Amino acid sequence: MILFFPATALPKDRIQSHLLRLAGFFLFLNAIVLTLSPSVRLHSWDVDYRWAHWLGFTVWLVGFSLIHRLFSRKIPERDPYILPVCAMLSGWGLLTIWRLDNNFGWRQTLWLGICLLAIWAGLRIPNLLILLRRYKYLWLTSGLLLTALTFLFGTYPEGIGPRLWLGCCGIYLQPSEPLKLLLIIYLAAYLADRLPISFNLAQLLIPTLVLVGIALLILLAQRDLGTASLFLVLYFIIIYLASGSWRVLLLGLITLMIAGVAGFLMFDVIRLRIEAWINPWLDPSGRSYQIVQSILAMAAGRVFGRGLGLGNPALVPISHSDFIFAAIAEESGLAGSLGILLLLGILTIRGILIALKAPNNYQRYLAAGLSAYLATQGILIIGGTNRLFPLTGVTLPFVSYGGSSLLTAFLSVLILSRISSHSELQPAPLPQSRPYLFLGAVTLTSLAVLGLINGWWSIVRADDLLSRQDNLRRSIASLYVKRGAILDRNNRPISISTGEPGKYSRQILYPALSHVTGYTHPVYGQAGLERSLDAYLSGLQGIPSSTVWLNEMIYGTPPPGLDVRLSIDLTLQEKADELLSNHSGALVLLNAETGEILAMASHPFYDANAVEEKLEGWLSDTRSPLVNRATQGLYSPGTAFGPFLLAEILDRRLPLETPQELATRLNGIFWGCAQMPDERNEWGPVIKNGCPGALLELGQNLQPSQILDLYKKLGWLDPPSIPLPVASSSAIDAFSDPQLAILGQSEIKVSPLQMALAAALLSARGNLSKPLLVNAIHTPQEGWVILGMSSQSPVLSEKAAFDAARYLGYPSLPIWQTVGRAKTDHGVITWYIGGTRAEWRGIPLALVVLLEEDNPAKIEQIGQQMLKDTITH
Amino acid sequence: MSGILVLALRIIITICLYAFLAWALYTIWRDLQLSSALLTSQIVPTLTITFLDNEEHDQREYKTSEIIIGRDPSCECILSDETVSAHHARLSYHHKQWWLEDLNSTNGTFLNEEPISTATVIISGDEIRCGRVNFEVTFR
Repeated sequence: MILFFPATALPKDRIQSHLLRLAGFFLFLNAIVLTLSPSVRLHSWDVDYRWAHWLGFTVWLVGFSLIHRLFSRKIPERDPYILPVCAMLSGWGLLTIWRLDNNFGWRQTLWLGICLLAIWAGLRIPNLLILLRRYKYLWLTSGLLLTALTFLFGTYPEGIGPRLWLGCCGIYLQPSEPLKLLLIIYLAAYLADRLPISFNLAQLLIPTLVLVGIALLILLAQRDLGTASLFLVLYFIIIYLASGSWRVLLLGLITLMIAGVAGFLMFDVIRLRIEAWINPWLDPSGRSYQIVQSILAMAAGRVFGRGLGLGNPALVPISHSDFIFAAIAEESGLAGSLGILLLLGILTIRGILIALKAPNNYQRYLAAGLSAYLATQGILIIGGTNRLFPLTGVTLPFVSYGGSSLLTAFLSVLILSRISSHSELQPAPLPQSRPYLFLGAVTLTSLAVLGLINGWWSIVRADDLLSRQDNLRRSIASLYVKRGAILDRNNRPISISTGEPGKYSRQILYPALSHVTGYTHPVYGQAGLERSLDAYLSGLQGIPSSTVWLNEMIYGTPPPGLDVRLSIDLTLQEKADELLSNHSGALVLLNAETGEILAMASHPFYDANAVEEKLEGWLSDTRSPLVNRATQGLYSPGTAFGPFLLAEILDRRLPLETPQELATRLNGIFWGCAQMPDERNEWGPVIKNGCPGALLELGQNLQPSQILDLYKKLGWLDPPSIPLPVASSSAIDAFSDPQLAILGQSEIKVSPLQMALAAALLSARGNLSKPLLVNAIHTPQEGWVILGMSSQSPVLSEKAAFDAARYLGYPSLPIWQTVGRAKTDHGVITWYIGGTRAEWRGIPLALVVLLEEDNPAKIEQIGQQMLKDTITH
Repeated sequence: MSGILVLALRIIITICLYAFLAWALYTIWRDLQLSSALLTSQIVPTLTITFLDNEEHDQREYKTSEIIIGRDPSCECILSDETVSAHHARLSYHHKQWWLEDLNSTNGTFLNEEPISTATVIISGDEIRCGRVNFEVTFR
């Protein structure tokens, strides 16, 4: 770097070469990071490294090295800060553009070469500033003509869009960019010529109003509204600086406000932008997509950034141009974005100092105007990207992609440096310094506010923002980091990530469990366990937070995800799905003692592997395959309420007489048994065949409030706690019809899972347990860590549970069972509830089967088969 | 492994950036202190031109640092006399002095009846003649 930026004995040269060396070193290291970035992303040395951007860096290094020497020789008295700041900003922008798109990188490198040539040429014209002053009208008119030419020959280089460019063969110029420069030159020259002799400001301004008015009209006609607003701001700033009159400033503010309101009413673009600015969260995927993504990028950068090439700034539309600040904020973090703001601040301070020291008023207005242009444009677009202002669509000087804007900024640097090189002359006397100090103060305050807002997004709000569903960085990270697998209780895989780093994809090996495992998809989001266990599966939880932090720091992604073990037994699950086959319904098999869910089937089901192609169809399917009937389906208990009523009577030690009636007639409707009992004078057979008459007889022994208490005890009024979406009836104070409640037909409806937990009472000595679906997670440090703890609370006496199960017992097997029926709005449904009895020495089981059809024979067969297979398993 | 190398590079990059900024701001701050002290000490003294040719002794006051004398309407001090050139002479204030300079006028500029050829320092009370127009300049 010393070789490229040599210093002479002059202190100004020393400052300049020192700063340029630091800038060169900064960019050199950034280029190395960009080269290495694929290796970091894929966690491997065996990758395709990025080399293309070194061309850009070389052009930057050689070009600025030459300009540095030329500056030292030609204009030794110039300001030593302007060139290094310009070099830093343009080099940073260039590398960021290369990082985003090699194609744009090539073009920007070409333009950088042209700009450096322009500076070289500009230094060789000895009386450049005088020429600019003398032919001010010529310059401005030709600029206006060139801009007007876009009406005829305007194109948009990247396809369809506003036709603001002129040119061909890959090189395009946007004439409104240099027009800014010409306007500033014209205003400075005109005011310096006229202001001392004219005492009537209004009269003085008429010619400028005409020219600026023409410029504004052309820009408005072309819908180049950002540049138009910038023109207005610059016009009033320069007039204010020259005249020192507060009224000009006030007039400027009023004009801007009127222009804003008029624009809001007249232009859809402005209305859209202002609405997106006032409340971007209303339509984050539509109109305010860009601004929301820009803020998300800032949040993703946090304080230190991801490192060049390691973030995902391309998620923000137009990130190479208007939104380049968001790209820098993501990859360099708050530290980088504050750096950009400080660089702009230095540029403004130096510009205003150059203006104050200028040898005559023309050069003073010119220098002040140019620094106001660079600062205002920077503040407007940065404020647009972080939501301080509505979006204006101008470029960030030096940094954004775009040849015309880069050239204009470089020419400003040339002119500023030329003006500053006359510092051996006495500065022209200054009537009042207040306007200049005011401009400086306003600029620095705005930059400070921008810095605070950036801090707000990237520190205070970062966590909330990054957990938003429309933050695609998480799903991109899942391509690079292996997601944990979901295993069954015997470590057989259910859902796994396959592929290689950068291309991981999620696959469910047992699709019938999709309603339990759910899916994870970059567009459709997450569902089921993939959603509720996401923190474990994606490596954010269950791992020491220092490890997570370190991984985020180094790779910008969380560490590899943890495997999760469920309580589901795939062998039993397969049986359950086989038995349900094409019947609509659900099956839940529990370990009655611990509450572990051994099998949970819901038919019809969807296939998580096919979410992308079929989700839309499933959403409109009347058979609702997306609903997990076992947890989300709510059904009246119907006569499957019988066993619990019987157990309650037994628990209260109330006398049991012989049952009289099987069927009954209630409210004019006939209620029959689910199946005909072979013995009609005993309680066991009539209950386990779901005879409503018998239920009513039993229920007469209890008060309505006692029935409600029984519902409560069974846990039917509270949603079961399980990491899946569940549905549950809302609590009520009393039944509207207590008689119907005895038949299990009331406001309270239950899910098959709730029913299974209640059935577990009879198999597990009257204890109610909480459901368990997730057993353990596999941590790198401690191996398998048990997650859920089973908890039990006694609800019935052991004897009542034992007796009830004995009443309902099945002769040849150690099980009890009941088949019940319930009426719903969509027809009759059938319940099977059952479980093991006390004499069974294995794991106590509870089983619930539900069919959305009136089919007691089929359901009994399914239930018995399931229990039998589980016992012999 | 590349991640750790890149992390180290990223830390050095941030240090580089802030070294640049800190050094620039430090030197600017020192420069600012110097130049603000310099600038505040400069005020242009008001220059008064008193015409001596007629009885009223017309006076004009100027607060600017540069006064062009001539017949042209763009001049600060317009003298409508045919012996005065369009841009005749310039009075300017710099290096804490008022200077008089002839702008290649046809009939010449005279300071206390001496023709001048280069920029000359004037003092309060000097008499200047442009063509045949006589006036006195005074300032404090």
